[in-house]
Amino acid sequence: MEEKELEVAEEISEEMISEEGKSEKNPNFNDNLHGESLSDRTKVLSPWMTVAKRFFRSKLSVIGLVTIILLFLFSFVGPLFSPWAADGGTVSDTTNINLIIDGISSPTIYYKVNGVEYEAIAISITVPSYVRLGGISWAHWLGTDESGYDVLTRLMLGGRVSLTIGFVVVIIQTIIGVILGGLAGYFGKWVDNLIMRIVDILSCIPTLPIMLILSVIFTENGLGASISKLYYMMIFLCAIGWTGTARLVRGQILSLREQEFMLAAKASGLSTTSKIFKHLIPNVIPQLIVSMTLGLGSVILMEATLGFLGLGAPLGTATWGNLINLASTADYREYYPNLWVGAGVCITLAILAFNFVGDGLRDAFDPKMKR
Amino acid sequence: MVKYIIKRLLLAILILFGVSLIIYFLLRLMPTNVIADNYRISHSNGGASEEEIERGLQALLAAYGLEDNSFFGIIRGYFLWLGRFLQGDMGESFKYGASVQDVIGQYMWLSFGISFAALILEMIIAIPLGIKCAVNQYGKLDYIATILCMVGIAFPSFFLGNLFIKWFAVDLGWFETGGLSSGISPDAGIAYVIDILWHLVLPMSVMIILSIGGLMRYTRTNTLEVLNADYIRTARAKGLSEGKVIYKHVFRNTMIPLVTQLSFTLPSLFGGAMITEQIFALPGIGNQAYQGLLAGDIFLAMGYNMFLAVLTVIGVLFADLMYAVVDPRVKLGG
Amino acid sequence: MADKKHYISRSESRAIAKENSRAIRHFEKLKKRKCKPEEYTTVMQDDHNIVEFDDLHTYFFSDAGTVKAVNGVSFSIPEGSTVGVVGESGCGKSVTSLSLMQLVQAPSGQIVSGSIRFKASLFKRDARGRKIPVYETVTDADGKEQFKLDAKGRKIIKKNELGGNVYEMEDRVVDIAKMPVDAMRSIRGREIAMIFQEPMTSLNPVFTIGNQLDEVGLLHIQGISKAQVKAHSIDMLKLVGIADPEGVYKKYPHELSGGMRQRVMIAIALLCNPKLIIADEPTTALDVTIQAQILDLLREIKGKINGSIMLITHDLGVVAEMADYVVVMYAGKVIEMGTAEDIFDRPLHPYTIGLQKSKPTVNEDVEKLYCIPGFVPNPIDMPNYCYFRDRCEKCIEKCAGEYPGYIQVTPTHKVACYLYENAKEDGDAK
Repeated sequence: MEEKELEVAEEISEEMISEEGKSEKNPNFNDNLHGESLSDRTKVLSPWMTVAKRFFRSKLSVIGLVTIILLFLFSFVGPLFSPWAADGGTVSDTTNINLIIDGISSPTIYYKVNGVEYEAIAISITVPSYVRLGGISWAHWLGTDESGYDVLTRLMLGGRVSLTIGFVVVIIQTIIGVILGGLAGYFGKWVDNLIMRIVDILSCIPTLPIMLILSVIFTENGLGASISKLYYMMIFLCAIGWTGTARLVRGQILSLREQEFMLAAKASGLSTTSKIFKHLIPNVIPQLIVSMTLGLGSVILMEATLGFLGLGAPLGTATWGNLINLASTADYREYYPNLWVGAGVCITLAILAFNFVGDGLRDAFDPKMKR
Repeated sequence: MVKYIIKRLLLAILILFGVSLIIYFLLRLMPTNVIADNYRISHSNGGASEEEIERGLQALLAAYGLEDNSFFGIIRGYFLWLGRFLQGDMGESFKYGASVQDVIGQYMWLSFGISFAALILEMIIAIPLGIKCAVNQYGKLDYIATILCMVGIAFPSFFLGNLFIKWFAVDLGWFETGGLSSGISPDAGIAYVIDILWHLVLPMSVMIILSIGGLMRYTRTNTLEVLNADYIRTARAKGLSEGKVIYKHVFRNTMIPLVTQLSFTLPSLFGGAMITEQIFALPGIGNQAYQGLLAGDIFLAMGYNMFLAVLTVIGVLFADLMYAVVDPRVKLGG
Repeated sequence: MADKKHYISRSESRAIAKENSRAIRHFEKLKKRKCKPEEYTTVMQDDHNIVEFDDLHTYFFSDAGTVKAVNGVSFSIPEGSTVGVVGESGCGKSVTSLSLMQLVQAPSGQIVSGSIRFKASLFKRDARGRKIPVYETVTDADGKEQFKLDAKGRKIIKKNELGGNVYEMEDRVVDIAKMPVDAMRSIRGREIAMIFQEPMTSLNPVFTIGNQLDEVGLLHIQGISKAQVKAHSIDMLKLVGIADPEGVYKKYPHELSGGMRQRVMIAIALLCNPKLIIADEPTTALDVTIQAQILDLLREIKGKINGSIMLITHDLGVVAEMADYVVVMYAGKVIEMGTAEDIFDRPLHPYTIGLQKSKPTVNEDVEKLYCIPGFVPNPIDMPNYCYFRDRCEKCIEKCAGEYPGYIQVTPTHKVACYLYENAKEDGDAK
């Protein structure tokens, strides 16, 4: 049917076009043509409803959306049910002490009682830093970390920070991108040239190495222990991350300027500005939403990477990145996967879910990709 | 054509100028005393007297204009750095006690070898798979491959790396947790090589799993687009077999965006996979640069970042040129 | 179903999807099956025809439901004639022609039932499925024919004028609707060639014209050398009126104009001397002067190759100029067919009449171009009365009944309309 309709739409005069084919082709333009001439058997869905319908038809998109909702509930509502949440996840009782076996090379003693052979191993215990480490138990589903924090609660609280950072950074990046891209596309000439050269320059800056050295620099400047270090680094991320959005918005404006209906608008004395914005918004918003959704995943990943390298938020703060940082300690990596696997799973799930939703949205917005 | 390339080169130089200026300003946020401390630590092992070290330090600070942290001081410092950079002198790495260009040159090739081998394996798997998925769109293989790819894309390298170490190196004991060799002497010949390759299995698997998804999906999307083209219908109407249609007519067109996309991997090819190398303790440029950055090795930071920026710019330029090579419709110029 | 169903609910949509994937799997399997040629061999109803469409149904299994793009089409193409298929966009004329080539956009589009009989000449196969070559013979001293042998004592395969091997052929009427894809491939490009609507996008942009021409020759003419193929390709380019064939041979499609590209497409179609050329709106995308040239070329070529042309167009002028027979389609069905004179001088179906009236003319002083009122019904949910009823000006009571059958007005002229139920006698009376 898609084939047939596309063929239809290409060929001949307006009134012969089957209306459904037309609405399929151009869901973003809300021209009144549909309304009047549709056969009474089909109802026009509003463009947004069509998108929603297409979105929900894809299983992956729904899985992604559900995962995102669950992660949010986990992070923002979850701590309310955790008995350890009040004090940043600190556990007051230290009954759950686990011991690390330092070496098995110590002499083994065998002895017999009533004919049954028993085996005893001499162990030495290193107490200080591991004293509060706890394995999985009923009280602590993911155990406790070296400071005695409940890992599950830390995971929830970490989600708050990581997800919030993701959203804030992406929104700021998008705002900057829209404004600068809009200026470039709208004014053209030297404004365009200037902004686009800045875009070129910023997109050549290697993000991760610069973030690393910045973290070192902020620490050297005495910001090491404060969360504001993370904020500064996220500001930097905003400052260089808007280029994609700017390119997108500028491209849209330029292509709108080229289109014939713009000429028509000019001929009929309508102001180009109002036309541009009227057509720009429906054209660009779908793409912005998609790029924001996909961008969320990458910001969360960036925070986690910095956290993993121990360069993000100050070590005490719970973020998913800081939690997975524990994996870089060989002992934890090998004997206490409960400390870091949870964070890794959360990060992976978040990125996966945002990618699913982003892809689903793109397919839903872009009817060409439809089956 | 020549005019176009010259224009692009000039633009590339402008971009690199901008990039270096920004990076330099950021790096000058580093307190001078930290630089001085790093210098002292780096030179104290050499048996030089304290006076000599102090003199050397003052000479260095003066040569790079590092004492003056006013705006104009930084500008002056930038041009001092730029002058040396253009002469091929990227400064001294405090961490490694050698010039930055030597450090990069020394560790780059291991990273390149690993990344290149991973890229080749990736292409061998991802491109045919992507085409197959597109041809059988919405088939079983397509669904499975797409989901696996999405999962691969979503895995953070540090998480997957650590999981692999935990499973395959610690629990199962099949591989080493890190490093490049378990101390077999290079004289052992084939055993030495096998040992190194064995060490590289895990890091390369991580690299391949992480990036194969992107390449596969890119191939798939492009193939789908080409499959819907009119000329594919023409090819079928000629009576060509499906294999010929796909591997001649479709593939050649899919190659166009693919080649361009591959040009963009240039920075990661030479610049190393920082996190993977760090997790597996491989002495590649990524890991070395990471250690240097952590230690506040300011010249190494500047040099390494510029190295990456140059690679990026070359990658973009290369992509443009490749476009003209692969697509007969594209004529460079204008 | 007639109660006003507005949109498809989730459960309905799921049911459709399930049904579609079942149907698609069924038909795809049929197309991929291996079978003996006997399974799809049939006989022609009329031996003068080269193609007979018989109650062909081609459906698209879309998410919104099954679209009956071709819904019971029957007509035939006599040998050596040009048949024009006319109708507005989306009436199923292109899908009909694509069905003939088995090129309907799979997997959603499938030939569901009916048959397309085609008089093919296929390679004769031996018991092991190999082609049987014809060998060179010489008459020896005794007047007996003997195989000519080469230096190594092997039989030499006979060459045709192009330099390709000659094999034993057999004429066989095949039913394309039932043919597996594998077998179809030897017909595509060799026996039936197709020229598409969009010359701008129908040639692969990354290969030279020569490459795309040679490909067909190398595929269908066995044993031909590369040099011979090239010579043949250049001959074909010359034949379609390209002034500098050697130059064009080396060019890429984007270096040629639309008209030139369409000529190249025609050259590709002619390369294997097909019995039937399908021209799917060959001139629609070209400007008027080029259109005339291409039409001239097609007519000229038809004379040369001694084949038939199935010309698909929405342009009545083109049909009037080219066609011997005309088939008028509307909403997936043939509503009227006859010789060109029948249709142009004595159009019967109100739709055909409307179509003619809506053709712009210079001579008559018309105030406004005629426009058939209303719209084509939704292809997913077709009414069970005449599809044109809602737009018809001459609608009579009977039209509320089921879809009209064909009425043979004259031996060559058929129409599906209740208005002419008694017209046969009238026609005879005149």
